[in-house]
Amino acid sequence: MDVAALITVIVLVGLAVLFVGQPLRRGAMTPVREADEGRIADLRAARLAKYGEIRDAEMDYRTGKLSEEDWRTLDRQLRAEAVDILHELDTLTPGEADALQVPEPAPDVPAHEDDPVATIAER
Amino acid sequence: MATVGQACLLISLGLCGYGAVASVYGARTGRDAFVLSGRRSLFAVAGLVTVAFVILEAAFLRSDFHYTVVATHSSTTTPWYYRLAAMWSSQQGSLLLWVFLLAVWSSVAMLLLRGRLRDVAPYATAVQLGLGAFFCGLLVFAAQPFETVAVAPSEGIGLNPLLRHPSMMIHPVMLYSGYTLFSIPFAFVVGALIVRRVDAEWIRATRFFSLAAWLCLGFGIILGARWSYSELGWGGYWAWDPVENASLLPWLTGTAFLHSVMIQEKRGMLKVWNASLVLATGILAILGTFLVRSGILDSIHAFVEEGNTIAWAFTSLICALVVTSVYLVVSRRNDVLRSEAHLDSMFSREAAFLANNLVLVGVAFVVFWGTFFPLISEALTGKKAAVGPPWFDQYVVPLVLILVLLSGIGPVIAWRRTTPGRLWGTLRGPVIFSAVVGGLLVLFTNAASDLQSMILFVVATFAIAVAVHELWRGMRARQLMTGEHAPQALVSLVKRNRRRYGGYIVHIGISLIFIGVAASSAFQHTRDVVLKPGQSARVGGYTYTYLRPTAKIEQRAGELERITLGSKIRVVHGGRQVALLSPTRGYYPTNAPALGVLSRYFIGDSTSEVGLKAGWRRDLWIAEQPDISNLLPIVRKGDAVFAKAAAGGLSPARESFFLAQALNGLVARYRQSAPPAQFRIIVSPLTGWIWFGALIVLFGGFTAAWPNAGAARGLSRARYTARVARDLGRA
Amino acid sequence: MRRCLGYWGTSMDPARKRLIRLVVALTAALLLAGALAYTSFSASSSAVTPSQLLTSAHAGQSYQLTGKVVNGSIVHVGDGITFRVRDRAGSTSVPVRYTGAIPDPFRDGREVIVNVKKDGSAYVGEKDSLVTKCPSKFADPKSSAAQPA
Repeated sequence: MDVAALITVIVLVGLAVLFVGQPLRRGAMTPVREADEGRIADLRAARLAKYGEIRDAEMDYRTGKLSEEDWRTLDRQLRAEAVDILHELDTLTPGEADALQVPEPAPDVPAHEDDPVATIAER
Repeated sequence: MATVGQACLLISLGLCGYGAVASVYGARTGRDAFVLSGRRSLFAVAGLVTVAFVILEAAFLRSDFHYTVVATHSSTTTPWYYRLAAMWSSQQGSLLLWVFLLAVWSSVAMLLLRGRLRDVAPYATAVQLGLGAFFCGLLVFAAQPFETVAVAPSEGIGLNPLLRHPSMMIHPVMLYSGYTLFSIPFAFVVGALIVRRVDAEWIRATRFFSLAAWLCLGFGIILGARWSYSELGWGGYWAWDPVENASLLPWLTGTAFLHSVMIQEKRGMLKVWNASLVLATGILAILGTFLVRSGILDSIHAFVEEGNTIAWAFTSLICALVVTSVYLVVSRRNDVLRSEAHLDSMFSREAAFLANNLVLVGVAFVVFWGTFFPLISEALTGKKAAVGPPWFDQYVVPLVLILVLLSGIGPVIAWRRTTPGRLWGTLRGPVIFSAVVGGLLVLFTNAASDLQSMILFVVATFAIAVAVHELWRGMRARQLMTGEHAPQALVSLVKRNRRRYGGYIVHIGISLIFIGVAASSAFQHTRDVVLKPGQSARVGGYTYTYLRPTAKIEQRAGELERITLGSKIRVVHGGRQVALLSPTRGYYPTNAPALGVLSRYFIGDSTSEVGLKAGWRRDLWIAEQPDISNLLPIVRKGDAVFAKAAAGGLSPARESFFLAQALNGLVARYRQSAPPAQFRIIVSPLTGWIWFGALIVLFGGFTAAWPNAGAARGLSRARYTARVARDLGRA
Repeated sequence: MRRCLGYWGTSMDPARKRLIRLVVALTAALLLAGALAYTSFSASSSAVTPSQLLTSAHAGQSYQLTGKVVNGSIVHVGDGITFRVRDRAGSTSVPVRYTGAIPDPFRDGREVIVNVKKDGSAYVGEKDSLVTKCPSKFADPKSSAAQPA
């Protein structure tokens, strides 16, 4: 093994150890973890999915796959499920549900299926 | 540099081990520092493996024959871009490519998912690092890519000319990307099952990578088929070869998952099924890699040079993965994997998706059984037996018919429950349309002569009509709601619901592919003929005329790359010339010392260059096998002359000069008086639809996968706003 | 337990409906799997080596022969070829007559797979069934010229 290769290997090992070991040296700095963080993340994701479902159902109705009566029933049911999710989310993270009522600024931000406020503003 | 490369792999092996242990330890004890350290190990491994990868590629680029791998798979006469690809034509380079892609894609995934699934991520990282450790271990102990010799040979053996094709540069990278990307959902489902969190967030996170993997793998498979069709001399694109099948298996289960995950998202059903699908897909991806690299099945692709250690290692890994997966699913089946709802009605989208899943898994089972049948029959009866393509077709074709039919019903049927009446109302248009098309086909073409193809044409038309109709109706609905112009409405419709409409575009592409497959298989005209210059053959209504022979010496980098013998073929249809094709055969020189100076140019490897004119209605395909039997006696006489001259003290410079003259003379002789050559002529309808359909699938897949920028922003904004509100509330 | 209307209009317990569906689905799956297994055994051809072929071949039955092409045995005859296939590790070889597509890598010493039927003392290859394994290296390693630079 020639000297240049040996030095390169030592440097690589050193870099790797430094990089990988840094979090350990910094000390076990546990970030502020919200309790039930997993549940909150799931609820947020479920909320987005539920909004998507509500909009999909309306699309299904407008394109003729659902009768008006079926749609209204489904819409009521889905909105009730969404309220449940928001309610549970609210108890775990007070203020978040409220925070989302703040109207979104920047008209150039493309309103999106997952953006609940924009949907409300649209109608 | 070779030692640096080897060292990188060794360090990576160590880091994989450390990182996996640190991640799990950190997760179990709640000590984030170790979790972060484990994540960083993944990034460090990615960096080190990249360094090793670059070192090896550099060696290939500069043709450093000190490296055994370079000397045995490349040569100075191989073009530089094929030299890069030559790296992964070797066992060691191929494994290095796999672990490189695994490390890179895993790192990308961890970066993109940073902050999400915090309790699952450490276990997922550990799984990824575990796989990395396996492959690094193989590279360190069983198949070292950085083996060198003290004295380098002057020339390498060269890359198999069959592999010198652009598709062959991308095909392995795409396939391996597909396999390694599927390991990400696999890792996350293992983690999610361990921490008992299989919910909405997991779905969102893994779906993107499943789709990316599905796209890469599908694209890789299509590239392989295209290469086979346009490079190999048999004119087909799919042979139910074990290795082809192995790449299809995870793609099939992946497709099933992409559909059934929607049911879990909307209704909380099929959790056990989905978890099992993701686990199976990951395992099948490893199995696919195993089949290509171990040679346990007789296949055109089976490269079994350094076999047994690798075969045993893979078998152990796959067994371990299967056992772990089964344990996780069975032990969690009654808590996190319990269904929240049940199937309300057989007339619902859930039922349609479930049927789709069953058919896809059915096809996967058929392909699996047929592929492994030699091993199964040997285990059961002691004798190895193999099934051929007709057996596969017998089962796969009817299942595909059902699948395409379902892809037309799924998009229009409502969730939870609908009535047959309502369903018929929405399907009426496409059904009538496809019936009309079917009638036209029966009246104006001979499509009805093959019943299965006829049914497929009608069903595929139905599926395409449904997808187009959906896009149309959605566009109209949007126009009514917003007053946008039609094109704008269509674009914003797709943008707001990328997954759904991207999916419909994919359905259109898949239907086009199957139409192309059916037409080109059932209505193909093939003839093997022997023609001499001036003669013609009539195939499928087209007249192929052998105009004249061609012969050329092709050089590269001052060296002779190959001698190309071929012909000019004119194709005439209805009195008009439709194509001028140039099928050729390239004869590559070999370095075998036993052969004479001239012989080694004609008795080495040869590959056909197919003459192909593709079109929307049909492909005109021709491959040639020239007859060099009248040249060989001259070649052998020349060998003797050169041997005598060399013994008599001919200088290398003069030998080269006379050699060039001799080759030119031989080539000119072929041009003047070529004996009749063997041709395989194929006229196959709608073959181009396969490749075009594949492009549509790719476009649709990209559309579906493209992330919604607004969503991510909205989510983080909400988080910060919430934190501000909380903090203000606390103060 | 809520009773719901099945699609036949009769009132049926949903759990029971699910059970019936499951039984039907499983039965169908088992039947299909059975058909699959049965046809695979009857439609398959035994994978054999040349020595196995010599000892146990029955006339008229199809076999999948694997082995290496014997050096110098390839002869072009009419619109087809004849060649000999030998055991991977050994010299027992059988003659094969073959018409159809000849794969590009087909040469002396290459590993091949071909479906054959016994016809007297020769073996006739099925049209287009000849497969030559892609050599991972360009030339036979024994013939590579490892000359010093």
